[in-house]
Amino acid sequence: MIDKIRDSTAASECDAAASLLCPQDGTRLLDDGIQVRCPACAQVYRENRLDVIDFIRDSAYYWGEIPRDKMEAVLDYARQNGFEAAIDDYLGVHVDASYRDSLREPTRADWRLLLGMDRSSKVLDVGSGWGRLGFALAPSIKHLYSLEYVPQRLEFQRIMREQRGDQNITLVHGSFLQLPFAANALDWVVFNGVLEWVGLAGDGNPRDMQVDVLRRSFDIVRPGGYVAVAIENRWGINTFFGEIDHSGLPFTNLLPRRLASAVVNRHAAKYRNDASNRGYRTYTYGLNGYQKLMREAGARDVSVYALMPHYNVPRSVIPLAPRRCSSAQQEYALDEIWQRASPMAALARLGVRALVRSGLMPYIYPHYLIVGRKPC
Amino acid sequence: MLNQPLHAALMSLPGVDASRGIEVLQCSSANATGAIIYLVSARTHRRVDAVVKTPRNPSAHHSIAAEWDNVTQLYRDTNFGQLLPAPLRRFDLDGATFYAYGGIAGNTMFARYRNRLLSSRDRTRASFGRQALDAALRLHASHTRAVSGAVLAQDLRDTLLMLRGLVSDIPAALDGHAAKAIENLANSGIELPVGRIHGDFSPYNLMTEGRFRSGCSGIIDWEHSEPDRPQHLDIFRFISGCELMGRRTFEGGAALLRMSSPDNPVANKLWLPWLRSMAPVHAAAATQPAVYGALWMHFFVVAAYREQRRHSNPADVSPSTYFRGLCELAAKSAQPSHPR
Repeated sequence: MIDKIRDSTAASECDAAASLLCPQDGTRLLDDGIQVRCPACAQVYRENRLDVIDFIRDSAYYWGEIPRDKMEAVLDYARQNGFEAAIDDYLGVHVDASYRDSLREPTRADWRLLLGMDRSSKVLDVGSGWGRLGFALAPSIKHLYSLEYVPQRLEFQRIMREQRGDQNITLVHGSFLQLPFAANALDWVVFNGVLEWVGLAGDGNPRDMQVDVLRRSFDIVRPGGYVAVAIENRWGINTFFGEIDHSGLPFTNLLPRRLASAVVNRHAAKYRNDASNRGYRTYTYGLNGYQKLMREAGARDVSVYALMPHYNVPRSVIPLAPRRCSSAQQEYALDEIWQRASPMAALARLGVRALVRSGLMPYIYPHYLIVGRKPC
Repeated sequence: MLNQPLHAALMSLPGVDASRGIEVLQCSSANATGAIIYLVSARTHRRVDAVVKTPRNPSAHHSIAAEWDNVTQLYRDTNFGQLLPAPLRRFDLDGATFYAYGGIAGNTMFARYRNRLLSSRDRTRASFGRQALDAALRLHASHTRAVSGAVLAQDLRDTLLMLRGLVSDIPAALDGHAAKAIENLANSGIELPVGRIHGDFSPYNLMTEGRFRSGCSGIIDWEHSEPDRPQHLDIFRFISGCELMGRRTFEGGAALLRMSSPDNPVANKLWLPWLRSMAPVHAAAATQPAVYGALWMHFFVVAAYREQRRHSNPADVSPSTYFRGLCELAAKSAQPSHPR
């Protein structure tokens, strides 16, 4: 019996590594329980069982919602006092209470049941950030691959994995441009607030780059598997009221792309981190645009849900496509989310209700979850 | 819906007309119970046919199972069973347990409150108090007995002790107020009803089909229901919930004082008629300022204990907590008074 358990654990570890490919020669990697290496070129991608699998080896890059020095301080605090304390006590007090609250949001992965992610699912979380989505999914799935490019964020995940004692999480330091996984190896690939940033990672046409990343994602999910994208709506109602776009400026998502590029060149050329990225490159789309993008990348069936109030705070999941839920259900969902009680809020709610009943609301929900299914 | 096994289970729920398909809307609760909630309706009409709850983390402690036990037991009561959501079915899928209830017509009182346009805050709350009275009397009359003020005093003493177990730094002034309340209750000579309570009898959990209806259409969220507790706690919970709803800023002790203000419109519509029905002989004594203040202190301590117990980390407790309000009251040496 013990041998059987040992065999199954070893098989599981080998299985986890076997889904990964050597970026240099495309050979399936081997995991001997300590090292992860390529049997063909002998390149070692993980030295120690508790480390991350590192395909980048460049720790100079940093991007984050908080400055690098504060991120390092959060990591120190997490090592000494635990990751929960680092979020609850340190982030909230020394960095930003609202950012802390978004990381603590308990509903982040609640859509997993509706979508049918279950205990047999192998899931890749692309651009996993602080790991809050993936680590919320992990107890309910078979295996999580958490892919992140920023070493500090991955280090936070490593601390979190160690302190939680998760056995089914593989941390991968890698880029979304080169998803280092074998074909048909996974059940789900999830992009939570990531796809819009793909254009910043190169010089090509941003839309083509997004299609390429999605196409690669469909390659690595099994036939009948899914690629899910949680993202902003280009035409979201909030953006008409001046919410800041990914460019760092308001309204640029609403402008024609060329005009947006001109505006960004003039006012926000160094937004995020890379001065070489000129113009407007953080493309988002509308309800139909995302469905088209998914089909172009290889999806057969595409489902779309509105996530309200935000894709990181998905308190309500409202089906929009292929079959849209009724206006009564949409009204209820919106009513429950917007709790403010004042005459102005009541008036605004009447306006939203009119938008729902007119059939316009599905096109202007601020955030979508788009799920594409790979043909069997 | 992509989760086919769950979709099939929802389609087969009793009372759901699935002949032309169903709609499933997911609404998650972000509070302590940690439920993922599905609203299921047939495509043929606008109402919600079933509400299905499942714990976000099946392995963690949650109160959803306790709610199911309470509802299945209480739904059989002929007097107030109609106020409860009908328990439809409990089923397991992929390691998670789902609890399905029938839908209840209308909206929560809070939803009605925040959507009001022309009605004043006080008038709306007064109408809620009137509607809640009917539900409270039906619920409380089902299982009740009278206990003396001394028993209530002992309950306050015990709860304070449990609160002290959770919060080490209870101000001395608050202790003093509580001791005075215990003494007033013990010497009051009143008898008040003890029995089945809802436990979270608030405008957030009472459903109504409109301000002009005489009663509620139902009561939801039964996880805190208990069989043998002082029933005035439900009434005070409702009055306090009406006072706090829609408030954007933390007011602490000021809000607690307003709950027991002589001008509180809900207290006049709910507390006094409830008292005359449930404890007619002792209604006059229970409206004496000293006794009434002691009863509120009882409620505040119970509410503070419940909030602190729900949040293991005191930093998690929201700014509008009863405990902080109590501390403010104690610091100002203010006491609740009785409605006229």
